[in-house]
Amino acid sequence: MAALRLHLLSLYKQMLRESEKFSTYNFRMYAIRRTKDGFREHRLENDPKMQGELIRKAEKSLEIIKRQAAIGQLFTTNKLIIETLGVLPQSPQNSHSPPTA
Amino acid sequence: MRAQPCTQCSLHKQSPYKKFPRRQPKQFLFFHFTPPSRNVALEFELTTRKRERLRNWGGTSPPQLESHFPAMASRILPSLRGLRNASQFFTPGKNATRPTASLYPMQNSRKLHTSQSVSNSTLPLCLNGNGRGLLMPLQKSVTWQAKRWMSAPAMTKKFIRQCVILNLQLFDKIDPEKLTLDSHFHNDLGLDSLDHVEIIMAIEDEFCFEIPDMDAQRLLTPRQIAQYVCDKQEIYDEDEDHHGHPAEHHEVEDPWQKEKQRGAFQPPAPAHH
Repeated sequence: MAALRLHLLSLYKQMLRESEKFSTYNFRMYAIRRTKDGFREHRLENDPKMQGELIRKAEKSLEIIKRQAAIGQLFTTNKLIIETLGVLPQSPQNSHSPPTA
Repeated sequence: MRAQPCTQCSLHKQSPYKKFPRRQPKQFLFFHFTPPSRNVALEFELTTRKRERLRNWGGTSPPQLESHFPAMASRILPSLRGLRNASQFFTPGKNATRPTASLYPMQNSRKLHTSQSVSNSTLPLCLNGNGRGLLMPLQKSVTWQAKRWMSAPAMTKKFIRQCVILNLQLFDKIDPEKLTLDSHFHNDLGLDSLDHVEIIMAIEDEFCFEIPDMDAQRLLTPRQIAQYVCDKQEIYDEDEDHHGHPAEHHEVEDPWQKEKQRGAFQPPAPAHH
């Protein structure tokens, strides 16, 4: 039982680590959110058959994440505006000049 | 053959023997004297390239190192989310520039490619005064500037504790007011093992080293985490012993105590007459 618990926790950690490697913002956020929700949803599952199935599903997902993250690294696109570092535009309230047309 | 005077320029009206020093090849040409086939354009090109190389000698700008606290830095300033390089916050010498070479004043050397002078390519070049048509860069002296790659804050136990506490306070599921050094994750803060995994991951990101699962399951309070990090980073503090209790300072025994009691080490009595 303890071994199963350890295995699950390591699986969780691995999945989160691999999900962080996505270069696309959307995929990355989705993968992290989905793993967290997926593990939390079936936290109190007691049926051993269901548990086995869920673990197998998780392992398959881990493989998918690894593959897709690697592919994403090969073909990168531009970063989204929210990911880039920049100066926030001044709102008209802050700047004491009349707003430009 | 006797040198014939040049009809086009006035140079040859003087004696050619006095004009040119001995090292000059003794070829006196029959026409206006020019230095023997120098590709001035090529030399200019070479010096420009050399200047470029020297200007870029210092290498690239300070490397984008993961400083010790990238995750913390990115969390502290939410507008800078995604900032992986926190060395901006810690490096005072952010604009520490590339080293620029110091120049030696250029004497009358004819060979530009052996000279040690380096100048900015925007500096004008001037003709030398002796009329030979040599291109010599203007002299400029600059100084070396120290290049600082990274200056991280000093790692002490106190600092590590502060980092750990700050990281945990930024966690969504933890109430920052309830958090103390000794608050247990499972018992006091009501977190489960999945949250614990996330906490350990945050600590790993913070201090840039991996924590194996066997060790991770033992770390259940912030104090234990800080202690573990100190052990792994080999940071020792004299004021605290291994378990975090203030250290006892033992009185150091004076090895010469007995002799001092006996009255040794007294200056010799002044000689009586």
